[in-house]
Amino acid sequence: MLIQQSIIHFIENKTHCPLINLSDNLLSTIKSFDFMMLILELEQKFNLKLPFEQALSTNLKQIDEFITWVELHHDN
Amino acid sequence: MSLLLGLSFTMIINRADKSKKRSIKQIALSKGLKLLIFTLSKLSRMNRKKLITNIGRSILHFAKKTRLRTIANISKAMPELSIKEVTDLAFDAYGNCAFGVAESFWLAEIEPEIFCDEDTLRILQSGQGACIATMHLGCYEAVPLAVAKFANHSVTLTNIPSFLDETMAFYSAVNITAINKKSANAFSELLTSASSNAYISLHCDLYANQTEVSFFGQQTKAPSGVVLLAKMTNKPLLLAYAIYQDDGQVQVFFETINLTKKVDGQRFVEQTVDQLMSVIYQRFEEIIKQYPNQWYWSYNRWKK
Repeated sequence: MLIQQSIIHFIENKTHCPLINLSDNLLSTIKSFDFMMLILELEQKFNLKLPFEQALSTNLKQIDEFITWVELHHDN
Repeated sequence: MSLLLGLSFTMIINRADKSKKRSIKQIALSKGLKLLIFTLSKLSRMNRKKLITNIGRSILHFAKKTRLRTIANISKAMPELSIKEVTDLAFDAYGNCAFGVAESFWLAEIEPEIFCDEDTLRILQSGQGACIATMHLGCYEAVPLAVAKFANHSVTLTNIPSFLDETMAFYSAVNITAINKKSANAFSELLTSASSNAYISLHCDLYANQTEVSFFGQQTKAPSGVVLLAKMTNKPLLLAYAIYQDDGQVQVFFETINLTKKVDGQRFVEQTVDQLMSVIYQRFEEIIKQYPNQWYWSYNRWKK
């Protein structure tokens, strides 16, 4: 839950939009630069190592998919 | 004649950007450019330098807006210079940069002299990859070219339309992988390359709405993708630049930027993106002051 909140909060800050649609494409919503910042921020905050190449694969596009993917790495 | 060549060259590049598909028009443009490059390649390198430098100077003479911006930028950065010194520097730098850009078409002819310390040499020879912050100074593409001399996997971003590069193999001829900035997959290609031990050279001296830096005493913003890449992939961060000697010889300098900083005299802590960008920009400033007539001053660097 904390991870989801952090990601949503980050995207809302970047887009200045209070209601984000979780089915939106992540890389269309935030800039690639911000995507890198988000990965680094999550790694630092939750003490994770995220294999970002995986996140860029075609199966992982939507914001909610990204959240699930980060949570999965956190649980593991 | 010189101006005509210069303008037609600019028109070719601008028109080429408009479409991604390789149309008949693009094929014609590509052949036209090829012919122009072939004609210029018949000249000796020094004569070519003279011709292209003069084309650059002439373009600046007629491009009032660019000329005024260049002069304003130089005055802002070096207020101690007189109006004549600033104007002379503007024309010198623009001419030199025109040659620096044009040399991308003859990279195979360039044999850069490479300078670095032993630690940096080890990084370049390790094959483990690195992220390299570079700048629009001297010969723009000499840094990835010099990297290609050490490593198999030298990668850079390019603005040259892919249909032109595919036809003329500017980069592949010298073993550089050029990712087109405008390609939809540019970002993922860059990340994938970084994680597969590539040496990635990115120009980061122009404006981008990313990280706050101080540049020539004024606050501005800069692209910090190269630092983020280094941090994400745990690769060394280098700074590199290429300059021309009077005889046309290209010299490329590499330096290592420490990702950590010693605090309290004993323990090392990781530097933040902002701190690393500040280190890079401080060096950029020193380098530009050393070679002011080789940096690209015409860009809107301190935009609001």
